[in-house]
Amino acid sequence: MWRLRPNTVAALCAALCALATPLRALSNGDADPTEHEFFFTRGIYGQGAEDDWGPRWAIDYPTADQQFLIALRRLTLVDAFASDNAVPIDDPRLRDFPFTYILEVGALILDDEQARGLREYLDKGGFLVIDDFWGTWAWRNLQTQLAKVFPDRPIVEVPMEHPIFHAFYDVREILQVPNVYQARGGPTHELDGYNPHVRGIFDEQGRLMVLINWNTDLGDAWEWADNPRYPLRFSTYAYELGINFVIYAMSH
Amino acid sequence: MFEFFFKYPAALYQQGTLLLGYTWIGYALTVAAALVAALALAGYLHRFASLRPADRLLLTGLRSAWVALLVLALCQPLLLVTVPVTLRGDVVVLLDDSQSMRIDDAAGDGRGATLQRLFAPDNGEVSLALAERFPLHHVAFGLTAQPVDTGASLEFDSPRSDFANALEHARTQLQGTTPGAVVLVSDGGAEPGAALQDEMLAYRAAGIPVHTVGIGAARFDLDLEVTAVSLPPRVFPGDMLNAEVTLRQSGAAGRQVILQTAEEGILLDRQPVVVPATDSFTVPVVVGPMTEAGMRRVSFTITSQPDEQIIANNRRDALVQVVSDPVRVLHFEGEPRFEVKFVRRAVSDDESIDLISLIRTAENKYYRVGVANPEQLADGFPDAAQALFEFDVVVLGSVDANLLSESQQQLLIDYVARRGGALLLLGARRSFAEGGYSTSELGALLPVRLRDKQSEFRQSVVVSPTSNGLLHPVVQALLRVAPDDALEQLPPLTMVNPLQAVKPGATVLLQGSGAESAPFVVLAFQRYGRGTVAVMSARDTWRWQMHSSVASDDLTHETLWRELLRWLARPVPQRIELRTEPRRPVPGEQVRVTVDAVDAAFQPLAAAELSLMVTTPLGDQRTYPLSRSAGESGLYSAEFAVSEPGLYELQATLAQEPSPVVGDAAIEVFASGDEYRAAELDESLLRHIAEATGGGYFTAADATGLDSVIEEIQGDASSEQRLPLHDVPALLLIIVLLICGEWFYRRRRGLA
Repeated sequence: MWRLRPNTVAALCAALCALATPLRALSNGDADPTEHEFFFTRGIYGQGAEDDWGPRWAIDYPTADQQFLIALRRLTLVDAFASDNAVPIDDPRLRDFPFTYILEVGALILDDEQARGLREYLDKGGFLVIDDFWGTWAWRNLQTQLAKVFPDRPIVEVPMEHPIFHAFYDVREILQVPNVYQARGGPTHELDGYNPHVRGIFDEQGRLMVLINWNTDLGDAWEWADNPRYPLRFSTYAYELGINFVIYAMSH
Repeated sequence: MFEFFFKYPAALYQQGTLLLGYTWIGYALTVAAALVAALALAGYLHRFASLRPADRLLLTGLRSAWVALLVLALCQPLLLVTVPVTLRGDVVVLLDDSQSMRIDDAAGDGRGATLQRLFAPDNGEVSLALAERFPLHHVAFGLTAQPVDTGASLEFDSPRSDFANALEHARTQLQGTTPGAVVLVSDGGAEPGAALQDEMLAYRAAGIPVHTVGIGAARFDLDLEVTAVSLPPRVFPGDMLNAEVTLRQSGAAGRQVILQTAEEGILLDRQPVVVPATDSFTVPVVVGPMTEAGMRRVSFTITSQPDEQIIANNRRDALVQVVSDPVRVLHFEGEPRFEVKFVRRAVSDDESIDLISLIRTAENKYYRVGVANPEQLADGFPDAAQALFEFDVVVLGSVDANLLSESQQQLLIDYVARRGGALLLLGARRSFAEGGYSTSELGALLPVRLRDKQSEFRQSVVVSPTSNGLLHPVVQALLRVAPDDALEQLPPLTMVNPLQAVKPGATVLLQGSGAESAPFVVLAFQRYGRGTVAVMSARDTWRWQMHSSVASDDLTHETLWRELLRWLARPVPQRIELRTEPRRPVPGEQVRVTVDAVDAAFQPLAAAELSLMVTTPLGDQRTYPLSRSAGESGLYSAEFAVSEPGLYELQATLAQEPSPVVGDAAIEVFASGDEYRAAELDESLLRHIAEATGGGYFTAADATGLDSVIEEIQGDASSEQRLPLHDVPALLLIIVLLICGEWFYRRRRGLA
């Protein structure tokens, strides 16, 4: 059974207070990688391809990143850079940041060079979190793109007993985290993404290197955590899961 | 006649010195006697004032003379002489019957032949001469000693020369014989151990000189020898074997030779070596990796040269234990850091490293990776010896010293100093001075000097090896895999702890060059008590793995951590440690196995049940009980005899729940012992024995004069004596004559 934790709630309250002022992108990937241990690095892809929401890579950016960092810094001892850090996924500087977050991967198209670079990044120890993509069509696109990166490694369901669900918080179920509009009531899914999944790609040693949050939107839960209309249970869950991802990525 | 009157021979008076031996009582008596004599003389003169001056002078002279002589006698006159002590015992000739006496280097004659020519019991030149003047006994010795009557009894086949045993035999075992002198004939190839020292003291106390005769050449014309091999006490599967091979040369300077390394007969390496001009030199050898667990025999052989004196000393075997138990490492971080992940990655496919990561993720929250069970380290860093001491290596990352309680800090000090564990401190924002270590007890452990104040510091440094590092196995391993064999090609690492000075006794292996002129200490270590403390001050070695300039197949980062952790763990003592004596046993000898046994907290086990299983070269297994040593707690021992050459594997087992604790070792029994090691004539040992016992050293060439020297030296083997002279007959006679003369003269003058 899912439960709210007091320190999580307290952190979220603090986060909400801090978010009284509008956030904007501060880093743009030029942060000094030696300044802190951890940078919440958002992978930039498909530059130039925009829709009404702007570039697909930048959905929820930078608010989601910065709000997540507030909670991370408040709740854990991680020496985290306080602001966002967006870096193109084919930029060599990405190797300075072993944790990368990308979303809306229904629009992700990797060329061979990008796929090779991403594979090398992950083989060397980088950790990739994929979030906020819905339905069969987006899944098939992701499968196609990841097959370019790892033709020989399957995408598998991550079992609930996996350490990533217990690295900091004990997460015991997978919730479907809706976007800010659907969180207000009604169905929580988008398109045909009825069931949330946490899937992954493991290396030869059994270490999780790519974590895929399908049919769920952790980013919106971080971004709208200060919105009184956004259900606390989704925000809390998203923060817990996100913090677990970071602790796992820094220790496995 | 002289001796009748003067008690001693005239020669003694010629070489001796006269002195008075009175004490304070003698002083008092002398003064009293002088007073009495003076009063008597005065009265005497006064009483016979009517006599002629010539009579008075004569009588006064006579009385003064005998009174003076009497006073002299009272002063205990002594004659200080060196009195020859005549050694009336027999002469025992100890003949070296060991294999090294087969070497043909004695001036065109073999050592054995020379010994036979001079000292064969039945026809040796010197033996015959000695037999004319002394009762003579011959004893052949090697590992044992036994009397011999003929030269044919000498076979020169003993694998060892045991001087101590031979001398003891001559001193105590020859029935009915009191040796007056011993002649030791040998090439000096023996170990100068404590037993020999004791025996020399016994000879000196008994006043028995040992004359030594050295046979053989003090330096070979041409010889190469592998004199020593230095290996780590244990290695882990996959380790490269770093050996230091010490060679000795005679007449081979400038030649190029080949040093071959083989494991169990399989050639691992052939290394050309140009022989330097120095007598002794060391060659580093790196071979491997060692794969199979167990006791492995590695041989080091220098190729023989035409006309080389001894071929048998060109090879030396060494045993190395490839342990199957993994290195147990505890990595404690006071905050989440990517270094944890990448260290784990670096050693993840290394089955010889069992790494547990303990990460403090929040104020009172720990995340554990790699624990054996849910209870292990559940409460954070251990606060009991039993829990901490099970690890071979403890790594502290960004751990503020205050995060550890006083008892935990003391435990860490004990862990290094008493348990002999290895401690590695990593650079981080909460480490070294920045973690409060300069004001902590833990600061004393570190090989680096810490600044008093914490500093806000961050600098990227390019890492390079120091001159000491180039000789170190960890750095050598790094250079083997680094791009272009140079660490400088790797991306810079971040320093957040400005470490630039080390303590005396510390060794810096890697240094970092940054904006400051003085280099930073990156990797350094020092011994502390029984253990080792090392620092790796770079905060983010993971950049050597992740950085875009590092090739996908680069293994520098993996190698750094594997080699560093393995190297730190190699000398760490285990709960059961075995030692054996003698170092190189030969067939027929007793081997003594001493076992150090400690409990899980590394306290000596006072009363434990331990057994020793010995596996012989033929595969037979025998079990011996290990008995407690009386002297020291935690020490157990057993003895067994080795009968054939080869590898004897030893396993001591401590029976305990839930599983027994074992310790392994091995000894190799050599048929020839060390007979061909350092086989040149060891004059220094023979001279030392002679000098320490009052004897003389002779070469084979001057041994023919030994018989006369024994007599002479016997004379020299005398003691200083004080001979009393107060009862010399001549003195009494003179006094009596003087008294009689005075009486007679007085009668002639009509006096009373």
